[in-house]
Amino acid sequence: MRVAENLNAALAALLAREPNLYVLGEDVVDPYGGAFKITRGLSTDFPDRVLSTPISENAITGVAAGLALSGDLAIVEIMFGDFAALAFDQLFNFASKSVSMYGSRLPMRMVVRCPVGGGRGYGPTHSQSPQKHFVGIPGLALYELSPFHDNLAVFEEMFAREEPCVFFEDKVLYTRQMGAVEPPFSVETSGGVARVSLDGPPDCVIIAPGGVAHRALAAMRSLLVEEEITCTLLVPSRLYPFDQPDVFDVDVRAARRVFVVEESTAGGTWGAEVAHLLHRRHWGRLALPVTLIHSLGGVIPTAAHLERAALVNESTIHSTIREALRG
Amino acid sequence: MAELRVPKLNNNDTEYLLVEWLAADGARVAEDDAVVLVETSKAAEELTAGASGVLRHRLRPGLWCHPDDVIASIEQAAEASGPEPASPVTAQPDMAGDSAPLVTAPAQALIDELGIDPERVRALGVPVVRRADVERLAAAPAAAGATPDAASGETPAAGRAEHPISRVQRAVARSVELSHQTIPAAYAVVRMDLGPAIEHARATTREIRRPVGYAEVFVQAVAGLHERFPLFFATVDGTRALLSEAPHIGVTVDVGEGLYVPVVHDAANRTTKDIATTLMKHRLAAATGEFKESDLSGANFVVTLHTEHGVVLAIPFVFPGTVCALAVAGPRDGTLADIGLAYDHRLINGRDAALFLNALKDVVERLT
Repeated sequence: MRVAENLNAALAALLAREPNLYVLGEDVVDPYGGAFKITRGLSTDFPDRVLSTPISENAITGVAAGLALSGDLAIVEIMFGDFAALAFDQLFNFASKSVSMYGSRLPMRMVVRCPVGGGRGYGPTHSQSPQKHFVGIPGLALYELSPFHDNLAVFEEMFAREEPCVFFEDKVLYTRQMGAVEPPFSVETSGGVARVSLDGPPDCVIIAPGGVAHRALAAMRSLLVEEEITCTLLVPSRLYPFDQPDVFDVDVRAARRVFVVEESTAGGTWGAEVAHLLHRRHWGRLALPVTLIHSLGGVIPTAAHLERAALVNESTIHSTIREALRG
Repeated sequence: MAELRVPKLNNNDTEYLLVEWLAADGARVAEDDAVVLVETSKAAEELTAGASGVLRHRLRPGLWCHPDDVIASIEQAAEASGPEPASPVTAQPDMAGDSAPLVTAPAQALIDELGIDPERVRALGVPVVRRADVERLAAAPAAAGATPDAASGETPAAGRAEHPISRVQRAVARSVELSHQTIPAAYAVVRMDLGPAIEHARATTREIRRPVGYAEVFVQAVAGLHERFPLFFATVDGTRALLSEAPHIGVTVDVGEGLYVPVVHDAANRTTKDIATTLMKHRLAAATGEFKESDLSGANFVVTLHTEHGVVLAIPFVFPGTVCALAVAGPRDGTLADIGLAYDHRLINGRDAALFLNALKDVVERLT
């Protein structure tokens, strides 16, 4: 099953199960079904709860927060995650605060879905990975789409938090298959973290969320074949709060070398937060400082060859790990 | 036969990118099946087959198409009279199911170099074949599978507890195997009075504020013999011995994390303090396994330490690429210790070994 189908099925199941769930977004109704077809078919089955909206990310997110405030559930689709900046105030100053600023905890069950990432030549304003700009807001949880996490379970978890969540979806994942990894690697998922590994102790641990996981996997394969470097890949479903070091402990202790991969441009990234947490916990036993692997610190170009050079990719990951381990 | 034409999807674009085929070439599709994903400047669009039949791709992914271009044809059942196109597709899972191991590039290079039978590699039964596995194969007798042991019906590992061999120890195992296969070693022992050396080490420790012990003393003493005994620092290469310019002394270090042989390079030109500092760094690195490649390479003489309490005799193996391994045991008779030399008999004879050991004895016993 492709990731897009899994996501579409998850939304359909949630709409069927939760009579007070609304799905809002620009052009989400049939026959268009959203820019990436994730909402296709939903408005046909649930015409009064899957609603196309005017082009105002601020307004849509505000409506979602209002629904959540009055006890309903809401899922917002931002057509391109870059425009989540227009909804930032609703998330930062209103929705996330509403969880706790009225004296007692108020459940705010809403998810803002953001297709993100480059690799398609969409240029500077349709290719970004804005995760880092949302890290560290109290009461706002961040998740990322991944081929290794069933989306229905992820949405259930997000709603169970009863606080606003942003769900980042790397566009390049939509057409990929769910779950599978090529042998000799195998994958297991527990505690919200998928672990792709080989038998035996790894030389290093790679932490890479869904959008870059397959690039990390490709690098793992080439590192194994060309250099006999063994990596274990950890793919967290939740990016923030990143209180998951427990799950990572065994692998980090064994490998003592950790790389965090993300597509965000350099500077003030999610990976830096992860590195900080791992340093606090494992400083004495790490063989290297946690190494960040991300895109260049610049605007993402439109031209395919320039975009390739700017964004984190398999060879960036391969060469960074190779250099760190082999010098 | 029906054609799949690209519709005009929006007014912004004159061309769209064919991202991927959702149905394989030759697949049987229904009218409403999404078969291809194309992308406009802003969005991805799945196109349905539009007719039922066998899909034939006309354009490959990654190329651009224009509205009204024909990108596939759909052959109705009656037309698709050729061989069932599904058969090559079904062949793939069979190949995958055979699960040929993944062979790393370094392993493949060694397989090619040694001309190892692919069947033996496959018979290893590991999902990933690394260079170390091939070295293990090369070291094992070719007919290992047919040895009497194996034939006696004892199934290996069945029901037995297993102790995984650490990476460091596997490397040691390879060296030992290679050494025993290739180096005809002999052994000579000379009793030395280490009293003066111990006294000297204590005094030096205070003076340079670095720990000085048997390792430091013998590294320095051996290095000093390089000029007089160049063959002891050589490498055997077929019918020649390649001499080395400077003594690079390897020292065995095992702090419980596995055996390492870090090297004190150009030890003859170093002060005691410098040697002590280097060895201290090596011991720290051994505790964490954090050596640099250069720390562990280039030894042309190895000093092995066997100073644990109660050891009276230890015969080290000669590390491949070197000619000698000196075994330093602690004194067991007051200050008298038996210091042994394992040597490659192809290059060095008993007399030479005795001369070398007595020269060493001379140096060690004259330390003040």
